[in-house]
Amino acid sequence: MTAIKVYRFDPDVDTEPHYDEWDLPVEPGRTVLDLLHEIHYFRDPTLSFRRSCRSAICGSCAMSMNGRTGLSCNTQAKPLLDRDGYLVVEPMKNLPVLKDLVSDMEPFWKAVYDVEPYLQPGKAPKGPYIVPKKRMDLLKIAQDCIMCGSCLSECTSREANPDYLGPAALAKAYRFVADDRDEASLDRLRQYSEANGIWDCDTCLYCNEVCPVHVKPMDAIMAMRERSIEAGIVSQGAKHAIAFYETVLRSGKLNEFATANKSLGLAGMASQASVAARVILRGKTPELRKKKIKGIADVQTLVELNERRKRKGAGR
Amino acid sequence: MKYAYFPGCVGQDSCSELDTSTKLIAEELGIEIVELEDATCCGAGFMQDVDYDLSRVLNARTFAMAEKLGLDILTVCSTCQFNMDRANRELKDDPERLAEVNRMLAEIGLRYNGTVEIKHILWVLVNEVGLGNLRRRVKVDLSELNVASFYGCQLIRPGYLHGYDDPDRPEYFEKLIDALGARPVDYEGRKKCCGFPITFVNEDASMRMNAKNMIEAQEHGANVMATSCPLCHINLDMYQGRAEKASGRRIELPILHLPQLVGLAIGISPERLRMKRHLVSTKPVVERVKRKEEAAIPVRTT
Amino acid sequence: MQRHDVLIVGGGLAGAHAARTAHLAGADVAIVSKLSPLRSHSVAAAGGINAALAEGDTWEGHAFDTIKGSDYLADQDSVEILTRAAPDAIVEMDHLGTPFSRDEQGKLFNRPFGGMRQARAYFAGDRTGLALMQTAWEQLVKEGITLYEEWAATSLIVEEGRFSGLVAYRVSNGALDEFQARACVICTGPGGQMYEKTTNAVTCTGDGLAMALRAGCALKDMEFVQFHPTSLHGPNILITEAARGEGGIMRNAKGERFMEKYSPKMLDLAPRDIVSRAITTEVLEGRAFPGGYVHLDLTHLGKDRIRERLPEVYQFSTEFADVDPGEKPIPIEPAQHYIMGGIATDNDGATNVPGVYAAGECACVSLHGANRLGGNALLECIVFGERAGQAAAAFARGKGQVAGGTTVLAAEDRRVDELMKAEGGESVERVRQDLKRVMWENVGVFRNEADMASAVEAVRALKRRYSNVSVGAREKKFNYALLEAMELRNLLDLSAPIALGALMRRESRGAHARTDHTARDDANWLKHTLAWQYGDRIEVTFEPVRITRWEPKERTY
Repeated sequence: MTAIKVYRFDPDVDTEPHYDEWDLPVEPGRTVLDLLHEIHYFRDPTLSFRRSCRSAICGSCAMSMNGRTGLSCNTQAKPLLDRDGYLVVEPMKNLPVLKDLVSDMEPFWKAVYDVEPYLQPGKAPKGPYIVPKKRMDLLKIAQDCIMCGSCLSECTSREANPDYLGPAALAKAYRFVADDRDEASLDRLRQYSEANGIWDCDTCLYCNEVCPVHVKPMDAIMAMRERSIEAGIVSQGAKHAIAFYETVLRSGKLNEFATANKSLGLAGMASQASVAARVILRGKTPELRKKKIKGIADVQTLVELNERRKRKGAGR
Repeated sequence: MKYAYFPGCVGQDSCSELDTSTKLIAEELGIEIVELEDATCCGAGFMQDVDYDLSRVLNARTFAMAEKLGLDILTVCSTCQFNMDRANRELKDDPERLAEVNRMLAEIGLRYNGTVEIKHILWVLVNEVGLGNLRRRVKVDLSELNVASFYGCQLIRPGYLHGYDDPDRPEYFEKLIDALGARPVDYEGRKKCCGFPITFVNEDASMRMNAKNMIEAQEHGANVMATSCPLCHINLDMYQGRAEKASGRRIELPILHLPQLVGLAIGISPERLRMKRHLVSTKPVVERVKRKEEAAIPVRTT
Repeated sequence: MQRHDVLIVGGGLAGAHAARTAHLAGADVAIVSKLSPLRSHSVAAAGGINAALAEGDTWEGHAFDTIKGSDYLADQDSVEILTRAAPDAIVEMDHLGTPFSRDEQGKLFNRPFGGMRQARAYFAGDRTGLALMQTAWEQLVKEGITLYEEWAATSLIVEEGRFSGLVAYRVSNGALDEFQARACVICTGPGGQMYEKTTNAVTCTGDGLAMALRAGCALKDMEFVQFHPTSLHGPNILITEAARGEGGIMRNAKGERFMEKYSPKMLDLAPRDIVSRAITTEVLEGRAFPGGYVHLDLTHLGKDRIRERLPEVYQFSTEFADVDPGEKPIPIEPAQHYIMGGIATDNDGATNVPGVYAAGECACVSLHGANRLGGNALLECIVFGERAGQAAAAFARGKGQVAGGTTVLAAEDRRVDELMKAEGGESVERVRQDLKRVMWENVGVFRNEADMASAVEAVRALKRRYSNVSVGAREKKFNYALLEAMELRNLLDLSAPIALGALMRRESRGAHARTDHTARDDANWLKHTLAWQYGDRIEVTFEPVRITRWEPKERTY
């Protein structure tokens, strides 16, 4: 028998949340949802949580279990218990709580709606579109998303910036950018390159890590960054990445100073003055000019070979 | 223990104290290193944003160089670790891709056969130098140091790539801190993001994240933080002032590089470890250590 | 009080298509859905959607396979409509963005499916239902269609002989409200939760079917319940037929490929009813593994192919049964999966109550007769969802709104009040578990007179027990206990026509397999049952099967 703690809160009634505890047997094979069901059906029918398919395909049951968000229906309880010595179930993070384990998904959906999550095609052919498998496969990192919210719940960028569109919305966005049948790629990339879009991802990898259906939102965001730069779309993030890249091509190593300079510009550098001043005082100033690595010619050869490859139309 | 040492860029530039302290502890602990002086930047995720394929082939060049030496690669930066691990895995898993990369490397007289492993110094210290060995080497009493670890996102995630520590309950750093005789501090932020990747895009959000982690560490008793990534170090140390401004709170938390912490423990002086370079003074750390030293000296009475 | 032209009850694949079509036809449409649309069980459909799109394939071939698969109970004119419309449906979904799997040249892939003589199931990996549902939902977002999400419809309002609205319960705050409209399309999908072993979601409680029945609609062919042969032993999660389509082979505990005995030509890809009976027979005759399951062997496909073509099978198998299908066979057993029966509709989704339409799994046109072939359900949702949406919009046009209906709202209010007030009664879940056991044991894969008669009685007894249940939760907010009590009423109302229809039909046909009447009896039983509810009685009438060009023959594979 083990004590399972479950978060209880009704913001209309309670001033703050509390945890209820129940003793339940946790045999191998029992999922967290199984335990919640036992509580709800036979111990405390007032416990509220969403669930439906119990097979990790509908996305209803996302919640935080021992601190990590996932689906309660496919999370085995015993391994968590064995590892941590306790079992605690809480609602998703980064979203308001409506009651107990039921989160308000409105902010989640709003971000998804914001990216215009539907195909914007040109003139359709008579029959099905002809799209080679290789091209259709590009959608694979994003197309299976069940919109459960686990990624948004763990997103560190969203935690610091509630206006950040977040991994699910951006993965959905990528699904259309990468779809050859969608003709709005350029407009989409422009839109997503603005504030709170693709450049606001801090690459913390939480989304890739927690997605219960193995979608890779961060990979999708990175792919959109590359496409947006290729398309010449200007943004602060793009400027920084390009500056970084150019210094490496020049000398083989990063030139911190030049990168900061190029990406921030004069005004930007001025705003960094307080940092810069102290950096100089401590003697931590990065090299203004970087010595080229010995093999810089080899680097340049590889750059050319890569360009040639790209011109031939080789995909990613 | 012999490794091809990949120093990274920041670790030899604005955070060159990282490179210095790494070499000092490597020598002391018998980790033989051959520096890959000609290696390029790993891309740090930013080159990947511009041209992913190019960054992969440049990393393959680095792997080939290490393979030629018959050595695995040692990194001292969480970001280098992830970016190289990712590229390496892609090459190992996809023979077609590896063949394509090798066609390009052939033009510069190199070839990568997919045999190199890339290891962060944290894992090498715990797994190969060994905690017991480290414990025996400790010469300085660090028991007054409550050390908050900061792994850096890309060292512990994604779990399916690195395979060393449980991304939800990472332990390597805490075990190391304990073996060095200091006290590890448990707090949520040790797994979180320092904010560096978005410092130049959304400094506000970056500093909020940054401040939150450090304040939480302090609230859990930390009087020093140690990090395994120089990019995190930039945000935590260089930008600590900005974090204080964003949060309206005084932080003043000294931030050490992991090798500096190790160096302190095994008796290398703070001066040699270049701890004076940090923007947030490391004096409190030095003082705590000195106090212990002095307390240990028996008082002579005549 | 909410007012619209057309209400769509249920936001799954059928509902989304009905809504979009009605909206594009100019109606003011609103979806009333117990779940957020993407949570609908449509997403669980895995393997594929059939169409005679490939060169050399014909809609007639698709139709014949479907009709034969239905054991000749399907209405053939309806099937013709389905299979004629199928190729356009696939193209339409592709044009709307569904990421169908393709070959290297960019043409749509198809795979063989049970009971189809030709490979014609188009798919998106093994998450075809998810892909189609996402596309349908995306279009709802694009069109900005009004959505009342997490509102559970409880009763239809019929006045002056036609539909005038419905009452729905808002899960988030327990409020009941009336929705007025001139037409509705019921698309509430499955209702298999009255069975102990089911692949259905916990929320699949046949709400629309029960509401329609109570409002005077006939339910057709309810005795025809499909048991999917390959559910994961234990949690009964669906292992898609596509696993067999890709070459998976079933074996009993002796290692025998037992389907050689039961279906020498189609083997493991025989229609579902035949395979489910085969497995059940192996179990009953002691050749299965202890616990009552057999093996589905995919090991010879190799890990790469499994990961590529059947990633969901891989996921389910590893996550829920700790089995890597590339290394070990998957333990599978039959479970309730689909109900061929449903709200009786014509080819435009119209029921016998003017203004009430139905489409998708909850409807019975009849397309699937006594047994449904895999790949036809997703197709039905699209083709008939659109037809019903079109028809409902046309019906609503130019009709006045029937006023009133507050008596129904008041009655629902009282009912909810009583449920909430009741103290010390039985637990809703216990009654539900008993119902599930009764139905599984007595109206399952193999049926007989005595068992089914006892089921009919048992359901009556359970209904009496239901009148004394306590919900045990007083709060109005997200009171799932109350919702479950309301769902149980629906399950009980549905179980009666299932048990009764099964008892009455003295033959074996398709999925309805009786050990006491083992033969198909076209002379007496080539007809549909229609179940009507009057008070607390179910009455059954009959309707002939519509035959166009395919004379019923013996069904062997």
